[in-house]
Amino acid sequence: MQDADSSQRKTEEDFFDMVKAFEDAIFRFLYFRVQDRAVALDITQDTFTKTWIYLSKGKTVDHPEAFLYRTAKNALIDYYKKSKSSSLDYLMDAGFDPGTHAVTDEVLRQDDIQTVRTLLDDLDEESKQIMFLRYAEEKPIEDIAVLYGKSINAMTVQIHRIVKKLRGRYDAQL
Amino acid sequence: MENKLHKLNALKSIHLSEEERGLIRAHVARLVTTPLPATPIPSLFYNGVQHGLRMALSAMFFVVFVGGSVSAIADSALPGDPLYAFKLNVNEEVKGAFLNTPEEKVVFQKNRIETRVNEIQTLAASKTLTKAKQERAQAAINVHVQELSKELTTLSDEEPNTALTVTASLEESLKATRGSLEAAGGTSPSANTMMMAKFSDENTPAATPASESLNAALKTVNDALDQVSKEEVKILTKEINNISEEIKDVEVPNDASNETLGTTPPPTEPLTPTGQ
Repeated sequence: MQDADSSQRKTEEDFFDMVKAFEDAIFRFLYFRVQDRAVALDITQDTFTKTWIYLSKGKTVDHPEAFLYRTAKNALIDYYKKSKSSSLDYLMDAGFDPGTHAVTDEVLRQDDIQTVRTLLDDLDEESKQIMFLRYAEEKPIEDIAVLYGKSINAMTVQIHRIVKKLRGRYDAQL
Repeated sequence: MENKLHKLNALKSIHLSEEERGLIRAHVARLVTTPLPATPIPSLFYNGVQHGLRMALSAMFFVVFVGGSVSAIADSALPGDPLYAFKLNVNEEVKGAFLNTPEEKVVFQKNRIETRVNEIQTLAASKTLTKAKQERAQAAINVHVQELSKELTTLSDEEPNTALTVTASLEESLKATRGSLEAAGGTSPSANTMMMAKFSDENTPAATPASESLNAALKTVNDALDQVSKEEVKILTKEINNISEEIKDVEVPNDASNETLGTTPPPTEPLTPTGQ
């Protein structure tokens, strides 16, 4: 019985550590995609909810960061499937105003960032995510390969092709 | 382009606000402290039944698909083809199993014999009729004739006219086939027998000249015709015997027999006392 309690406490501590370590990164990842802080916050919460449900079943996570990004990807897909999240309504009803973070969002309005984001808009969802992880989060290719279940060589080639495609589009715009 | 992409790292300056962080932490704390709603776990029996049903359905679809395909292909098989046995023993037997009345069964066996003869004719026409193929078809015809004979025995008791009509129709059909084979170059039965003796055991069509193919087909048809004629004679004999029995059973009264002969008995005069 004590073993079960200590195991439960250990799981909770691990989960809290995961949240503290990656909440900003997961939020950025999602915010970059949906470009709406409130929605990104809502999906971040969904991501942690799914992670907790997984952990509370007694399952373990070997690579917390990769697991969280993967869960965030799935939560993002769920978001796209739903037109509007009910928990977002709840947040807004509770007085949360997504329009009060104009200072932080200024980064997204920089010319260079805007140019890149416009180019990225034409890419598929996976390519956008990979570009974000590689250039915004500056993650090593090895980590991104693990996240997408591909070999390092395959991921290197994929990133090279995406950059080549972006370059072609950028040159065409000039 | 790479330089521009690297400028994306400015996005790292985006962080959760204290308010947002508080919301997430509160959400996480609520998650951990609130017990998760128990999800019903399907019982092992339910899972087993579901799995069993899926397996059974898949197996059934597979069997129906494969069986149907094989059956459809086998329908056009000729003696010597790999699926010919399937056609005889499965396709036709299944069709026959759904027949109820003796009349339907007799017609079915008649059609089977005609089909076998047509197969022989087709092989003979394409000059691919070998001794083995001819024997295979002949054996099938013999079986069909035996079954036809059995059904005819039943049918001739109940409806002798129908039985005779079917045999007569089959006989006509076989004669027509024989006629067309003879017209195509087949020889008479006596010569045919001699020709058949020359058949080699090889199944190669090249070893069988066209005339031998025709003669083999003709022999099969003649044999079938003989058997059918015998059946017809049997039915007729049986019918005649029945009629004879019925005639015997009719009791003819003496008066009636006399009437038939046209003789009338002499009028009996009333007895009168003599001398009155």
